[in-house]
Amino acid sequence: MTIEPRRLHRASIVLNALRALRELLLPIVVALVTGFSAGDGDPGFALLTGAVGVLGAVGAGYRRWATTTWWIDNGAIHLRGGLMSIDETIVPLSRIQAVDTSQNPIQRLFGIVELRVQAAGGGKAAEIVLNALTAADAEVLRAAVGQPDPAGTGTESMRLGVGALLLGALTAPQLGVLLPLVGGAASIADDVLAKFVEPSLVERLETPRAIVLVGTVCLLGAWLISIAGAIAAFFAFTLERDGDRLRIRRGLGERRVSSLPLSRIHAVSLVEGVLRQPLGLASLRVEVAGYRQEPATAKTLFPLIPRRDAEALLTRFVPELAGALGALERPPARAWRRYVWPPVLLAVVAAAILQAALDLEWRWITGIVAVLVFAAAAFGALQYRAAGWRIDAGRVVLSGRRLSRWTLVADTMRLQEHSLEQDPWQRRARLANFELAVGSGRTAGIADIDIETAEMLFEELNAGELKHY
Amino acid sequence: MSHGDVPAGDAGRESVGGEPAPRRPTPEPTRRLAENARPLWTTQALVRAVPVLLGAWWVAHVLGEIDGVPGVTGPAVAAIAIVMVVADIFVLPRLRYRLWRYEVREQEIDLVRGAFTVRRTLVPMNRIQHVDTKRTVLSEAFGLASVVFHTAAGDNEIPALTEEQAAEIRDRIADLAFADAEPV
Repeated sequence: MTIEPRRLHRASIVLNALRALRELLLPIVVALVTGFSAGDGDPGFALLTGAVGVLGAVGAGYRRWATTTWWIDNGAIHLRGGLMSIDETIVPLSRIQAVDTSQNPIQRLFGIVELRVQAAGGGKAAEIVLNALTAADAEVLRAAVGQPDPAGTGTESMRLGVGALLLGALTAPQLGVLLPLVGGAASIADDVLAKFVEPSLVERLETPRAIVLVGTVCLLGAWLISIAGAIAAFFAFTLERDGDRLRIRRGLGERRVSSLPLSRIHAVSLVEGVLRQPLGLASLRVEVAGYRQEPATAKTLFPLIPRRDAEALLTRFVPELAGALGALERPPARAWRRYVWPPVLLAVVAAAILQAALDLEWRWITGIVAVLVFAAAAFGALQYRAAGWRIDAGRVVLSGRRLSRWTLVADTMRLQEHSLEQDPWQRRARLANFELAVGSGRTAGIADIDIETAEMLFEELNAGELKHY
Repeated sequence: MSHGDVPAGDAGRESVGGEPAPRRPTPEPTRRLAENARPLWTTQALVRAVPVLLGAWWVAHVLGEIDGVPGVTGPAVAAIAIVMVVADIFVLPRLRYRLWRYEVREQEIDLVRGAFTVRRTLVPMNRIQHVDTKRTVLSEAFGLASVVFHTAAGDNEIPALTEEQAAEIRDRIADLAFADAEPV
């Protein structure tokens, strides 16, 4: 099928300009803050910077729209355009993994959609983003690339309830990511406030109580942002299966619809976060080659589900990978100490460095060593308990723990590579590590299993070998 | 795909002795890297050593200036850096060269590598998306090149081959990988 070169909807200019402004926001703010302090608070400078920024963004947005065309011929979709240099991206239709559409409030206003063609890229991000397509154009494009419009009702469908949405947001695992951001923002705010307030907030942080207070506020702020982010991302989350295609709808301000052929799913992973595992809850994620550069939210198959329902969900929605997620084979008992020793050694080294730096009283350092060593040993033991594997017809299951407990179910015929690893001590103990990589770039492994078991897995998963038998 | 076009020297599918298994195990890879790999790696290690030693010397110097840091810390940091550099230059290239084996078979690429920790990796041929040869200024000086092949999950490399070998292996992988290309 051939589609002659077309332009995007004119609303693309607005969207491009807004995106450019968002990218320019940080430099502008920095310019304002430094200009403000340098120029004795002259508002003219601020206005000028703002005006130049907006004009530049609109100009760039227009130029980008004017140069952008897309078309389909010779079995490939082409996108041509750019700001300075005009680039052409070509994605063969056979490489297309999924087609996602989304609508933010501005796009809804103009009645247009953003369409993303997710492709399997060899390293580089090979994907096409069309930020302003009319509904008609989107339909034509979808039909041409063989990923028809998500209109019909799914044969299977599942919706995230409001309770689960809130619980999921409360237990969202993004706290660690956000904390440094909030800290950074707080420090910038302090710099700005320091122009007006004497002494600066940091200088007032003399009492331990003030430090604890500021820390708590930062933590609470990060948590609230994380909750709001999770609610916005997963609002009205719906998973549907329509024959051999999955459809995922989600989002509060920006509604997203992903359409994903089942045949593109290399693996599914189950993640039981630290806060979720005690409640028996988990989230499910798809591993798809085209989603390599996408954020974790885009890979979500279902945001929150009781762990015991995960197998049933797989049976309904990803039947190729359905089967037991539990009853895994474990590393041998003699591997236990290999799981526990490394974190314990690390804890001892950390305590030694702490002691060298602070020169604490002996009863303090004894206490610290005891706590650190106990925590490290418990962590190692938990990692040992989480490690497991099983192999059924066409699927391999691996599980383990970093902080969260994870379980990966992969299609054996789609593994990208697998490895066997032994260090000299493992050779003596007849243990080995096994690791595999799936098409999304995700690797998963199990440490310190019997060398015979590891070799068996290595042979069993040799797809080339399977073809010979 | 016919079995007739497997070039000579390829260690076919026959088990090469060893203990009996329920099925024929994938034979161990047998091909070695070019002999120039060792001098190339030693040279690379020498180049790396300069910033490492300078950095260690600076850290040791700074630590020596700070009150309250035990006097042995600086020399200890320097000593660790020296041991690492010496191992990198004199020991690791030899060990790595001794252990490196590869085999390009019809259905998969088989790599064994390591110095102390030995890792064997199997990459199915029909997962390979593209393949190229890579040369650096240093590797060219030794007449060497590497073959890099990419899958949806990432890259793997057979380093330090002679330039003719590298080109030959690259073309062979391309022939095998794209013969019956199927979408990922």
